[in-house]
Amino acid sequence: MSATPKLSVQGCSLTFNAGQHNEVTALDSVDLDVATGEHVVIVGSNGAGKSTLLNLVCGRYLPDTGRILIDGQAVTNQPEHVRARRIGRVFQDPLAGTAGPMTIEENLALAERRSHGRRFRRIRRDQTEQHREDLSRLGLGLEDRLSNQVASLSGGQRQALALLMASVSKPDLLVLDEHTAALDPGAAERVLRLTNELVAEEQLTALMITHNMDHAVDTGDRTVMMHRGTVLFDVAGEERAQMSVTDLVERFRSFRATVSDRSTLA
Amino acid sequence: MTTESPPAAATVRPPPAEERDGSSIGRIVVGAFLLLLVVALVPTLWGAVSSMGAPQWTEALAIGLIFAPAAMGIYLTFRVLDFPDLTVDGSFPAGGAIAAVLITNDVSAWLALPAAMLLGALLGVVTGCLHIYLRINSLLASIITLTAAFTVNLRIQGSANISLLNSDRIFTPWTEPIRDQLESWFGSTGVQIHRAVTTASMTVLIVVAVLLVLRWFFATEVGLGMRATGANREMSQSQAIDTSRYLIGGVALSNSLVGLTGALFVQHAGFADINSGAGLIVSGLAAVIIGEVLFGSKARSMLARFVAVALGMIAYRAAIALALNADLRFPGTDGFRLEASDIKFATAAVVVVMLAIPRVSETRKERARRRARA
Repeated sequence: MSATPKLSVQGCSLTFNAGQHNEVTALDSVDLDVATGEHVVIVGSNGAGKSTLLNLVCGRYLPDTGRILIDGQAVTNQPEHVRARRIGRVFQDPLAGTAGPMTIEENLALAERRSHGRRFRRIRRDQTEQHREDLSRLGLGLEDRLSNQVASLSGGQRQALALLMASVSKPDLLVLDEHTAALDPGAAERVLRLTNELVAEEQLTALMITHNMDHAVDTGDRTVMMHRGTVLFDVAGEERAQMSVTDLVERFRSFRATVSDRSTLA
Repeated sequence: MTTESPPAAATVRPPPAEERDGSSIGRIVVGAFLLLLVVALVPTLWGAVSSMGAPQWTEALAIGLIFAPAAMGIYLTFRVLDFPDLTVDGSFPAGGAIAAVLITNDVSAWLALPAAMLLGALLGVVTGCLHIYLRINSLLASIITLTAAFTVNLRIQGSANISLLNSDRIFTPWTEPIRDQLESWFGSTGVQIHRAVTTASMTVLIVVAVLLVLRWFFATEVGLGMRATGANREMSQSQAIDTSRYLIGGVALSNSLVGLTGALFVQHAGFADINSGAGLIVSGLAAVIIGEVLFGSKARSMLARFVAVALGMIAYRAAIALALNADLRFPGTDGFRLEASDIKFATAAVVVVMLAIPRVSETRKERARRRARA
């Protein structure tokens, strides 16, 4: 793959509360290149820096050092709302990705303007058929509830809608921050299946955090394990295809052991 | 709705606030209390209603229409943007002050309206910037602006009180013809109500114009973005909305409507008073709540919601006129009359009760849930 990576994180570090007693190095010189169309799954224990990395990519935090490029273009210091034109994002909290007091159709209309900018121009009213079609693929019956308030939907329904909103008009990057973690098993399975379908059909480049070890090896085509703000290992292709959940956990243990030995000796 | 998602713990959040509706027990208790109150007050109220003639009703309508834009502005910050904003207590007299100065200097009574809106918007921008860029809490930021606005308003006016009675106001050219017309229809009653009728008939056109502008605005992409900003700031950022600008713009829009009300009010009342804004936020909230209770909080379109708020303000002013007219006499006392100065207390009490109803019923539901679990 000689082409420019879709996303390139170069030597990014971020420390919270620098110089204070509760100083935390959330990210320690992380490098990560993601090729176009790649579906990267990020795993790691709490505090590993997974969410921080995604927040850095999305622009919610700015790195202390390092650069972030999308399609070869530096976006390191671009504010979140500017970068968001190229990034679709789904949060862990099912209530976070949609606007509860607005209707399903209004939420979709909102997402449609993400990559085009907003003007003092009437909202398009001729998209209803398109909306119905998009919603019907969720298989949740939402296509008949376009004018219902989103607040009346269940968590799983809201998350499915948030996913649909994040993927409209083919974003350069789809960022999924543990987006199935707060759902019941059935809804989580459905939302994950939908994620895989959307990523495959639209050929999206996706970054997904999960705590589910099965998803870590089954979903996507590359697994990145993080620990204490660094990338512990990064597997793809044949090696990953051979990998079982047990292998993954085993590998995590061994790496972590060496890391903590090193830090003890240092 | 601020959400700081902790990276750990897959927590399921409690149901969102917009889902709350009163439990039946809470409603019955409150309903019974209100019924009792009404029964006890019926003779007095009846007396008030029958003693309230056309002049009082038309005056209430005129004042209600004048305050309708302010109520819509308060609805915009309080409900749409979820940004409790007290700046309005300062932008109302500010609108009045600039209007009074333009009118007494014979500039133009009509130009006074956009000028007042501009000054109101400016105060809104100050509050918005204090909140966004200095991270000052919204209430505190607006109190700071309103305190500073007092000085600004006094500087603009030059004195605490200006009379406009001898200057041309937007209503002046119409007062005479309307009086003659009303007199030919109703005789002396027509003369009594001609000022209020003039104000009401002209203000209703302005209110309709404001409603049409708001309807247009909230049907645009920007308007939808503003609603989203109020509903979920985090999500709006991820949908490429510059929430800082939208919030500041929304607070500015809100305060420009309040400034407009200020400019209309001084032209009707015939004077501008530096202290006239105190308590406007509470009466605006009362109008918002009355509008929601009487005309439905689940109103679909934004236009319907703003119309409900405007009607809420008219109903509120009518209720005040009624209360002021009521002759409450308690046995053993010489007679107790509600004074104009008592209204603020009554309004505050009404707003507290209205805000308490959903809270009380929620607490009850929560207790019931806990009991069910135990």
